[in-house]
Amino acid sequence: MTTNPQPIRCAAALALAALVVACSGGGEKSAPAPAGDKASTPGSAAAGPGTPNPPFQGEAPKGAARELEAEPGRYGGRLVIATAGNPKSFNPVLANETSTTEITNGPMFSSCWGYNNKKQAEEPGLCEKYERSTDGLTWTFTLREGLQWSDGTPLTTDDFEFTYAVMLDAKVPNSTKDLFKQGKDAAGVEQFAKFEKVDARSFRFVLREVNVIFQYAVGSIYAIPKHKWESQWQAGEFTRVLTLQTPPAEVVTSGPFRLKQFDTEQRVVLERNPHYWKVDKVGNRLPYLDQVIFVIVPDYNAAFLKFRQGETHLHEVRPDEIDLLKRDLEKSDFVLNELGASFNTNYIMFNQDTGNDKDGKPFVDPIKMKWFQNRLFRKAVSHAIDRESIVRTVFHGQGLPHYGYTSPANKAWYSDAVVKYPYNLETSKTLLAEGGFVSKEDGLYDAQGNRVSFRLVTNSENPTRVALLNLLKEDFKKLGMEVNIQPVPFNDLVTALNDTRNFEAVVLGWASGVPPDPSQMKNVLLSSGRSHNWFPNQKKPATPWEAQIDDLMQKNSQALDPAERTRTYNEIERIFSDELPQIGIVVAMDYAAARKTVGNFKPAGLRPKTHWNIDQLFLNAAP
Amino acid sequence: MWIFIARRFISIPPLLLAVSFITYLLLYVAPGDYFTRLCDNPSITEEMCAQLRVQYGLDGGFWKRYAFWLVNAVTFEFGYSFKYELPVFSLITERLSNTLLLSGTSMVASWGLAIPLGVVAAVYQGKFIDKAAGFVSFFGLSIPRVFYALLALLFAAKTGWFPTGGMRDQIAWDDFSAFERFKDVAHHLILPVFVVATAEMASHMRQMRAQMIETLNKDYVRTARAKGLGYWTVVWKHAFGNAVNPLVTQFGYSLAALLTGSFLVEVVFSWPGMARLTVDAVFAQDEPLVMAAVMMATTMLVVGNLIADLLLAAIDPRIRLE
Repeated sequence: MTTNPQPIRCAAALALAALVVACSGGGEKSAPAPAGDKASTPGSAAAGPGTPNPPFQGEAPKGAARELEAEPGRYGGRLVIATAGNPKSFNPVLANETSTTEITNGPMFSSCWGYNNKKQAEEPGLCEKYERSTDGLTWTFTLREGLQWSDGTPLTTDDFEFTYAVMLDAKVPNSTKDLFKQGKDAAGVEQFAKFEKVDARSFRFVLREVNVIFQYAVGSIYAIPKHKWESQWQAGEFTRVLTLQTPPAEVVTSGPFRLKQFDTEQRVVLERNPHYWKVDKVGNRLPYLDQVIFVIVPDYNAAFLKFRQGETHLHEVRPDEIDLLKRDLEKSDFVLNELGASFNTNYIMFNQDTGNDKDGKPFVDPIKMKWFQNRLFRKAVSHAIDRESIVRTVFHGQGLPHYGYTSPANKAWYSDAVVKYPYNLETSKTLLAEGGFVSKEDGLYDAQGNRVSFRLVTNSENPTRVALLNLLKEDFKKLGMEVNIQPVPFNDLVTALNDTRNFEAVVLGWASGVPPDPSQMKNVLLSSGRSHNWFPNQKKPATPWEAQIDDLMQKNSQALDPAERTRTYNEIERIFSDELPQIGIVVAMDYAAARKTVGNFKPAGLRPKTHWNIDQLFLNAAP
Repeated sequence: MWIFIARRFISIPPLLLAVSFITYLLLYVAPGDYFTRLCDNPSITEEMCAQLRVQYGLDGGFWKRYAFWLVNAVTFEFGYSFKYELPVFSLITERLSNTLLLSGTSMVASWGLAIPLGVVAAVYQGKFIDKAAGFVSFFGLSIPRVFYALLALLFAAKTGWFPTGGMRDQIAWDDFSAFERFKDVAHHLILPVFVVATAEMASHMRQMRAQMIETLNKDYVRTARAKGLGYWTVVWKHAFGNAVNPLVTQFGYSLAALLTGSFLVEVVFSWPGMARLTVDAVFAQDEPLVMAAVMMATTMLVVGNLIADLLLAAIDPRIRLE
């Protein structure tokens, strides 16, 4: 592993090590052994193992996690990432927006159980292991030995007990607690998983309902230090905890970095947490980077501009930027990695909600409702979408046809055994005729002689969807359908979707949560779900196939055997692609870019795409 | 005159009340609210959305919400921005100073250039210098401000001589000494100020030139020349004072426009001023922030107009403020 280091580099490293000891003060032993500097630039004396500044404090925790995947890197440097929008706070319990969570969850706070975005698999976090009882109802987690907060205070079960109590506090609005819901008791009171402290290093959750992936629920708790915030929570002021105005020194973290400075709308500066709980494969402490700067920009265009000008190190590439970046690639200093299909899907959906509005009028014209509820109509529509030419024109050739619900990016859950709808107008016309539609000279009519026409909307802020709208209109025109397209502001669209239910057809997309597990999709797939957008909040399933999906979802969430989970989910996917409540269109190919100097760059399709492994990233030379 | 000032000040509260009412009403009837986007996320429950709306006071009807805002606003309590979770007051004061830096510098630059250029153009009427100045001013008057700003931005991106937006170096700012910080801000300031100043200079210069030409043709100027006074002495000592008179009013009005005059340029150059703050707040439906920003702009406008009137009264003895 360690090549023969040149004597001069060795001497330099020793001198640096001495310096570090001097800096850390109090006779604390710190500097890591300069081993495994394979990644450093050859021939440059300055590119040795580097010196961590701020230096590490004390020894690595006894139970430190060893990062076996990553190349040993070089200490030092500041990594610059552009982020669109100001964070709202530094409070991981209250955080909802990605502008906040991309900074707090991961870079600043670690969770008990982690997720490897690249491998799409769980991995240990602050906890070294968990045990599930055979009935799946008791889950025991064990924290690593010797964990410390960034201020040196021991990190124990008490901190998790405190954070969980805060989450369950009715006055603290957060979405994490929903993962811990356990139905209602006889009196109709919402029940939650029960937290039990075992000892300073272990705790357990006791459930009432089987949840086979409860480790992910626990993994979404980003604990905050009890010794810092307990009194403020008890005073009922939790919304003023870890705000943007909290002095950086008070923002005590458990992740690889701690807060150094925040300037509104300018930047968030993080620096090394000197007590972080991970080491690399040769035993050097992590993280490698001295600082991480999140530069706050107004929008994604500004982020792209900054990357092209060389001001930032990492960039999540959007489809329309790929051409430009590929052209720059030859003469520039960055790498462009293809990540395969994106997790983001695009679909067209017809409103099948049979409810009535406040005035007792049906949401959808009953004549049109008949078409939309007709499975053959939806199948005909799917066959009429020329997905290949959409990929060519809208996605610059960077995309794949998509027919069902789950994106192919989802390694664990995507199945190819779905019903597919290759572009074929003849099939479409046959299906329409079978469904009782009549094709005349001037267009398509239903059995009652009504001209088939509908309004297709999407949110105007998204240029890709607006482009899709235009192409779909042309495709459907070939079937004799009259489609009125209309891009509308996002808020209007959401209001139509969630409140007034006043829409006919819509083009939208799904993004993925982490982990991309069926348990995260309940709101969409269950007929009672709020995001079951074609007909949400059903009291009981409106159709037999929706009842079947409900049933399969129930089985999926309780099956202890992973193979059974796969089987049930594949069946759901097959039904979905056969019934087409949402008709998949295309998934784009995903790309990420980074400066060549960034080491251990392993972008993944799940967000944060470029820096999910920020504790392993390092810089080969000063930017 | 004191009565005049007092009357102006008394007229401010009803005006603010009316403006706040209309603004709040518009925000209220706009579809959705601050949490619409968040609540569309499938992993956020309706329960939590309802709780957030209660917590942020978005659950009541129009009158209840407006009254609540009004009562607090009267005591100068503008609340916390939804989007930033920061006190609106501190957000606005910070952004206000940035905007004033940009528009103030631009104002000084535009007037500082417009007046001497206008005088010179009048004196050398029809000569090359007049025509050149005329060309510049027509360019400044006719080019749309946004397009002009975009051109400047393109120039910055192509040449790399100037930063492409922002007010300071976002990365190395901490390591800068006081002088380097000054230099950095000045560097960021040059292009936006150039755009605003040249565009505004045009109209001031045209007016100065017209006034000066008119004055130079007056009898008393000829008399002064006939007495044997030097040409430039007459121009500056006799003619200038009279010619500049109407421009003082204009100067007063540009004080009133300090806050909003550079709006578009701020947006194009990502200048962290009031413009972007207000625009973003409107799009996000961040009610407390929108309301406070609108109130601030209205107050500035009224006070600016007052100053314009006072200036005019001070300089022109024929005007009496009653």
